[in-house]
Amino acid sequence: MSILTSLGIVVCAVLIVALMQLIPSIFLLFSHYTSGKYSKNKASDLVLFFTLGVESMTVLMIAVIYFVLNALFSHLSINNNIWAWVWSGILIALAILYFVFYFGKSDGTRLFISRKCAKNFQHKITTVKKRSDAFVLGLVSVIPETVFTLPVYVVLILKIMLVGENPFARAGLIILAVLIVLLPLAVIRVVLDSGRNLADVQKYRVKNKTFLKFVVGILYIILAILIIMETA
Amino acid sequence: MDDVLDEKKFKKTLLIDAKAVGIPVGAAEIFIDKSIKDAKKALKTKKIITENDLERTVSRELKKYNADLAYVFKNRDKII
Repeated sequence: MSILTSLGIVVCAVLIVALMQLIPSIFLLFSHYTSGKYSKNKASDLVLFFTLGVESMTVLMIAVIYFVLNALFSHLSINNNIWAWVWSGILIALAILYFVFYFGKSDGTRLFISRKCAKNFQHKITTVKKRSDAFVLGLVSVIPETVFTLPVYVVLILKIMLVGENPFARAGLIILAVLIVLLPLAVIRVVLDSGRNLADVQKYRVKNKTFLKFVVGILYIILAILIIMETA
Repeated sequence: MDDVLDEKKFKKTLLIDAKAVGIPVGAAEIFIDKSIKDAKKALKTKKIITENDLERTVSRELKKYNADLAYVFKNRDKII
């Protein structure tokens, strides 16, 4: 049961992060613009640096969370049961927030970020010329969604810390936590390279928006239940 | 003077979208020009033309030539 709940926690956490939509939205628009504005080589280069930016910020975030959790658990005696219930409460609240607020009320895939922030991203996407611009855009794309992904990363990193002395399990989980954010970008890249365009991908996203809301909301709730089960 | 500058920028944005969607640049230039011309004709009777009016009308004209380009043009603000 303990191995199953641990596996369930990792799978839920990983799926929630992979199904988030802000970074894929920015990546989709960025790929579209660079392929229309620049040559194929330059567009690929800029997309690569955007991806590196996203990955760098993710790694930094994970490192900071690991450091903070390590410090917290070393210096404070935190009751595991209380911690589990509090964190589950946070995840259930996020499930409700995600379902109600994540996607805006428009008929597209407008997200919860303010329109000014969205317009800033769009402006940055259309004015990127250099690798450094693409890298910084990638770095910044990760930040607005941390309100939904940070608690999930905390759960994942706690799992990494508690997995014991097995170096392979630890390394595997760390690599998973670091690379999972790239999965939706890889899928979009493959789809665009196969001949589809922004219109095809966006129509698919709009069509499955409601389904995605349900899936991610339920995943948050399952994750909350699994955390409580594990400490019970 | 402002009108000319806006139209140039407008056409440039549409050409970028057209290239990204996979339309050959030469063909895109022809039907983008035609769509903007037809849109201006359709809006001639309006005293005040807002950006929304222009975008809606151009999107309707573009749809006659390429549905994907029209979709991208109409929905580019609804992705993020």
